[in-house]
Amino acid sequence: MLNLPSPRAEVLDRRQQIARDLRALLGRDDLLITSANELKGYETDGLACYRTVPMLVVLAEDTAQVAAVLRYCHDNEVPVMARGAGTSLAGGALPQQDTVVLGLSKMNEILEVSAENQTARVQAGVTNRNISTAVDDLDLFYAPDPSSQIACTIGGNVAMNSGGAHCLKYGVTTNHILGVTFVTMEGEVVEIGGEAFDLPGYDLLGLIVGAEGQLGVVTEVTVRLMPKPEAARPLLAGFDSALDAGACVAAIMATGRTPVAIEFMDRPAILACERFTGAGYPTDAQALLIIEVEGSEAEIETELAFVEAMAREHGATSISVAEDIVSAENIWKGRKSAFGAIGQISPDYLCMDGTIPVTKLPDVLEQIYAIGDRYGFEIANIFHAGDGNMHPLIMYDSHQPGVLDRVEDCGAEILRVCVDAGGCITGEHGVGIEKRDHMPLMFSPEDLEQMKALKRGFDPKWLLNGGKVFPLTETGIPAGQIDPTQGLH
Amino acid sequence: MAGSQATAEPSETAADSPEVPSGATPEAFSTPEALAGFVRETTEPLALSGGGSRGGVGFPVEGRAVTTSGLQGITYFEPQEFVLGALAGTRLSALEAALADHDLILPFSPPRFGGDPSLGGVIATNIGGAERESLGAPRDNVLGAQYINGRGELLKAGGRVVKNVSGYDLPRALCGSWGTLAILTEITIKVVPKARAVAQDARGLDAVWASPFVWRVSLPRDRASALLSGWSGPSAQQWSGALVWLGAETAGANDIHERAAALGGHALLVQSPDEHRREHGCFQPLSAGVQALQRQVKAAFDPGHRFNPGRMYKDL
Repeated sequence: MLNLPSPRAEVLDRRQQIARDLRALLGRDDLLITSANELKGYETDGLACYRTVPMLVVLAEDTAQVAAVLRYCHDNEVPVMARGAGTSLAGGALPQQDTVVLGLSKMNEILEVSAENQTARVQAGVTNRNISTAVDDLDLFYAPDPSSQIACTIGGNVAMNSGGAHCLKYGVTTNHILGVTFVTMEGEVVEIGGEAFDLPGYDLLGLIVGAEGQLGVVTEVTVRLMPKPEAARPLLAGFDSALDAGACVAAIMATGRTPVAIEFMDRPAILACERFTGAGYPTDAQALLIIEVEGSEAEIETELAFVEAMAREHGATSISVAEDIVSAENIWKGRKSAFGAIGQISPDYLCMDGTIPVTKLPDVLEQIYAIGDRYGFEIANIFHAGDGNMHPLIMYDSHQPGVLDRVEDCGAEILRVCVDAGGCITGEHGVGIEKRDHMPLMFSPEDLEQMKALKRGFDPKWLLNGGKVFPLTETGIPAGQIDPTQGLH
Repeated sequence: MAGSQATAEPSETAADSPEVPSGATPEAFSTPEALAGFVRETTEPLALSGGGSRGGVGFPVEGRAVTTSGLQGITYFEPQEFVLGALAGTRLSALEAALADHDLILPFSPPRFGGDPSLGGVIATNIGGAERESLGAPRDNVLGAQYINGRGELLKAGGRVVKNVSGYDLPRALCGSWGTLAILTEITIKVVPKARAVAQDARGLDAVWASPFVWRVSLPRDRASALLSGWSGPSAQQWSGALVWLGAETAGANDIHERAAALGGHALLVQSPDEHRREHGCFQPLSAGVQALQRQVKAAFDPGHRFNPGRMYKDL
């Protein structure tokens, strides 16, 4: 189990006073959550094996409230953390017991859409999917599409620089953010960027996107919208071996004819998803590729023929093409609910997120299976294969004593394989608490010190979402093992 | 290559780089380690340059002249992965030649400013070409970097894969910092198949570059006509109107920075007489809030203000 920051008794002792102060600051009662029952709703995120009930929760309704809360926390040395929908798979939204959670889910308005400039201005709590829904009738969409897009917020996407299946063609969050309203830890509200491409001065957007909410809190975002393709169609290709499927992905990518998405599932994942959604996946296959192409009807025909030929060349045992929008949606529904589907067949799982060079896919897959065998865990693989972003899901039962330690060791070995193959420890989920202690696999103490120098510049007292990204030993934050079943309330 | 050859260029050559004080030959180093050692062993401000092609942008820098031109060579190239790494001083022409053998191109085709820019210079200045809408700016194609901070430490950030959120995105933060935060020594970028090349529409750019003052204005595309209304000098547009180039005979009564900002955009004066830029600089004025954040970033990377001090803004 990971160590978590020990709560500061001195802060916990002030809890009643802090609650009174925040209530006075907000001028009303209904934006502050203090009851143990309700606070429990904020104890975890998508990394559900870690839970700590926060001290207080504020549900902010506008930027001014966010600024007031941050200024208060800064002046009074109270840890604080922004939270969107709490879907982080890395513990990015895990609070500490002495933390004020700054919930942004009420800030869910789409403020402005420009069809001409292909931009939208939205509040941070708007869900990823709702942006695309709101501009659908303009034949535009917001491209980065994390699997949790129905729930996850754009503010969370900005914090974690989220990816998704279609990022293979379109790029990730950082490539689609034009401007933000940024609130500093001192409570200053700063407009950064705008509707135009790029920004003058330093690329502060590049720095803020992916900083895991440690430098400030983003309350509004201007996103770039993309023209919707005329049409898109996924193809399903079943293989007798995961290695064949991996080789097929590497071969397709090497041609440079990049499909809009290439998703990989191995047998445990196929079976789980098929049972969960009935998407029509080939249940006799050892591995499945979902390859989507888009464009005009003629372009789709050409590219599908190319993809099909490549799949057959690499030993595909079954190929089927979505015949209509409903079957295409089913195919994606199966993929995007994959984590939920695994949850149906295994009591618990830990999702890894390493990225590797695509040409190394077959080798790395083999090593992952070997690691799983050695530890005695079944591993389901579901991932964005086109850009080498792997999601091995290590399945386990948390009722077995001490199992989480072994799961985390198993995961650490997988990440080491990814780094050794020339990749990285996290492709799109972020470091959070989960991969904090693995950062030295990629970075020297001096490399990390440079990142920390930035953190200190923006948040000298290290109050904003501390305890994430950097190994705790590197930050000097006192820490220990926290029993998830024992909150302070 | 449908690349930058088509883009109109000024006639000056790289050797004219006004950044280098006359008579001083910039010191060059053949390895990143040697350059880092030099930064550690010296204390004075450094006037940094790469290929020298962009030396005419920004306030002139007072400092000991140092170039990354000695850091030459491709260090990593996986054509099948579409990933290339090179030392910062490697010229674009060398990269393009290596890529052409595999029918690949750079995903950015920056204006050459009459020279052969270094990869480090292109990334540090983040001025891209016509493909901004489809392939992004240079900053969108950077995967990883090795760099030297103001303390002379040789550090790395990012990596060699396209999807990577392991820690803060420092390589992107260094893009467009004009050598004021760190010295880029090696950069890993995404490259793309030749088939994705974007036509470089150069209509009107020749006349723009022939003017003493050249402005590059990025703005929401529906405001381009407002910027151009009443503009009598040469102009050109790219990015479906989201990028406007203006050529002017004089600094003039029209302050393009102000006009760009009023239209929700920003402008960079990419060509101007030395005496003008010495007085006024070239970069878009910023809000007090953004200036404060920039100073924090500067302090984190280069606390002693040794790298290109004052080149972009007086306080950086």
